[in-house]
Amino acid sequence: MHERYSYLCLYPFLPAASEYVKESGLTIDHMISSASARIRAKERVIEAIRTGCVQRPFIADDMQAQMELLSYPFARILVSCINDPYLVRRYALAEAKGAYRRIIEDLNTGTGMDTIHKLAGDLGIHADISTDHVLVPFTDYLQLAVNLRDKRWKLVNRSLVRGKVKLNVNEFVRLLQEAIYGRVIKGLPLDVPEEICNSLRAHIEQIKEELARGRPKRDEFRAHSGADPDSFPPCIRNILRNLNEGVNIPHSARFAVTAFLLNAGLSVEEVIELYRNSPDFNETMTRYQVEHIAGVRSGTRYTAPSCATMRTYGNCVGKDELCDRIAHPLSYYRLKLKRRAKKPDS
Amino acid sequence: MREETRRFVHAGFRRYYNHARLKPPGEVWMREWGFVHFDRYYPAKVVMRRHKAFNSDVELINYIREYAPAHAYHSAAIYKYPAAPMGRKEWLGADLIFDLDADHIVSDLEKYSYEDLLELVKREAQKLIGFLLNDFGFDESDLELVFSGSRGYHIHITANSVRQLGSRERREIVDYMTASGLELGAFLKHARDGNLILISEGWGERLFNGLIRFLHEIADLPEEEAIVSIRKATGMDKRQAKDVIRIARDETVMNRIESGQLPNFSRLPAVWTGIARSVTRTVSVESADRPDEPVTSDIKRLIRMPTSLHGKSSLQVKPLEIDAIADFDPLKDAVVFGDSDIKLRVMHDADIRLRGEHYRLEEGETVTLPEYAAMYFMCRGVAELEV
Repeated sequence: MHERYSYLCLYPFLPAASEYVKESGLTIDHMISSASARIRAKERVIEAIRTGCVQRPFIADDMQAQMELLSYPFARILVSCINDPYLVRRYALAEAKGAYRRIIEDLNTGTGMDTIHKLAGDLGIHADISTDHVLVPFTDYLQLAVNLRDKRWKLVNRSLVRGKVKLNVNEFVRLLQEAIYGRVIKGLPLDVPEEICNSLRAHIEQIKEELARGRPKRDEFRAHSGADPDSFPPCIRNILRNLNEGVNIPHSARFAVTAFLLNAGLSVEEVIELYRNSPDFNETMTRYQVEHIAGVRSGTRYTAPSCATMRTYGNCVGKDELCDRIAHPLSYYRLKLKRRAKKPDS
Repeated sequence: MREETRRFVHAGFRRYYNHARLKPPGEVWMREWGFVHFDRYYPAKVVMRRHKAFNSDVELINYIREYAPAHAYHSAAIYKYPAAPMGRKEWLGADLIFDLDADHIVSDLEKYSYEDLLELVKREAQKLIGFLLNDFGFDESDLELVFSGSRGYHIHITANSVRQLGSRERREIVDYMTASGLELGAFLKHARDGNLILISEGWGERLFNGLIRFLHEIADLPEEEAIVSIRKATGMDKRQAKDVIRIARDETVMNRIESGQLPNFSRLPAVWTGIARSVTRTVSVESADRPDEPVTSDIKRLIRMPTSLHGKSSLQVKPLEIDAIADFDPLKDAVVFGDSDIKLRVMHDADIRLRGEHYRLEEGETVTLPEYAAMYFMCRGVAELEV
């Protein structure tokens, strides 16, 4: 089996992979008629929904490599036909995670450094790679790490010397995952002709069913603790809307909305439910963090950030006239509740 | 500002623009331009004319010479259609711009003289330049340093590598300069012998150097003073402070610290973080505790055009070499007007030191001043032309 081939079929989002497909003269019609690639494509998407990670299989021969390679553009078509922003993100993340795990496995078996070199080059990342560390220009670093929320990824907490950020190899692989996510999600959803989507209806139905099962209720947020979401300030409503749509929101916004809702009387369970739509939802981690903010462990409950802090982090969105009269989102809420109580029919 | 005054100031600006060597930014034709003119509303009502575009340097310079504006700005960004409304310009990239202004640095402006403010802001600019050259690895030739014409400095970086950075990425650079979110723990590694190793790179290096300096200072102080000094810097209690003094005075421990190994105090986890906090305060770029940051992450903002004049001071928005900043005196070096006598009526008390000369004006008096000082006071709105 071709070495290049077996590499590309594991990382089918690389430009070289789509070129390979093009060069081999395979067209969409081929793909659609290739039942095995079609099934593998559906598996990719369903695995993404179920586990959040598209595992890389063991590749036995050229036939399987070709199927694996073809199934990727096909999976993109399936995702695009369904055209659901949550699925798009979930799928892209799962592809990136699958690649990440494969690279880490390769590292453990000793062939990883080679893969890392190739991937960095193919993904257009300027990196100086050696066995004990990787140097990345800060501009590349920032673009890759901007969505990583843990404080250790903040530039200020990195070794930055003469414009280069120093990372250990595992950290660099984590950045590769980010780059891959960006690559996969780029262009999604594709503009797929209706007749193609129609011809794939059976697969699409199965995926939709899986989607409905795997995903929590996505109804508008309703609190059961007697909180009144209609009286929340615009900044908090905006974060809730993003959460509901499965948009990945920054850490500062997560903290703000969590602290706000807990202070507004929601229970820990209710707050956790809100995060279920996040593409990277992890219940244990979310529970830990929400409980921490609620003071379940330490006894000190955090209060929500003030308007000034919200502004600092760019979370003050959709300011209205009531905002001019208050300096804290919770004051907005209290004031609005009071006003509503006075005018029950407004 | 009375009409005669405005005409006079405008004529002065026009003379400057007719003779000055203007230095338009790169890619003039891809930038949005904005101007405030000496029109009949000025300065009571300031109207910014935005969304202008020019096809060439010559076209821009002709425009500036024709109108002799009070303020001239260009976008940090380059656009496909710079004259289109904001939503349709098609952003192609933006220079990385740092805007250090005294009112971002101190919160009680009134307490300082203009001169003192300029000194303060210069110090912050020097720190910022240090970060850009050492940590971020820029060459001096990548940085265009400009006196803002008022109370600060701008640094423009036009390198291709930074043009594509979005505002969140730029925000990370701001956070780096201001040490926001800095955590000492990120630079500490546990060694096998139980000690901590401080990785002396990036902020780690600043923390390390600051730590050593701090401990040496402590060692040289009498016990009581040292305790006060430590508690003031770190907020530790007396017992913790005494532990720090013991370390600072122990040569063996100090030698190990200087080689990067910190004793790991299980009893005193706050010692290192406390010291780090105090070090951070002195070496980061200052940003008074307010939301508008000292350097900008806004990728669509306008910035004053270097070599233009600042309509509220008459001073030049003056480009200068990086190594010239130490000796740069804006109140001398950014003055462009001559010294022919101009008679003014003073409307408000004011004072300034320009070209080494101190001018103090009292409300109601009539004074004769050299043109450069007269222009300054008229632009400030504290004096009118006496006719």
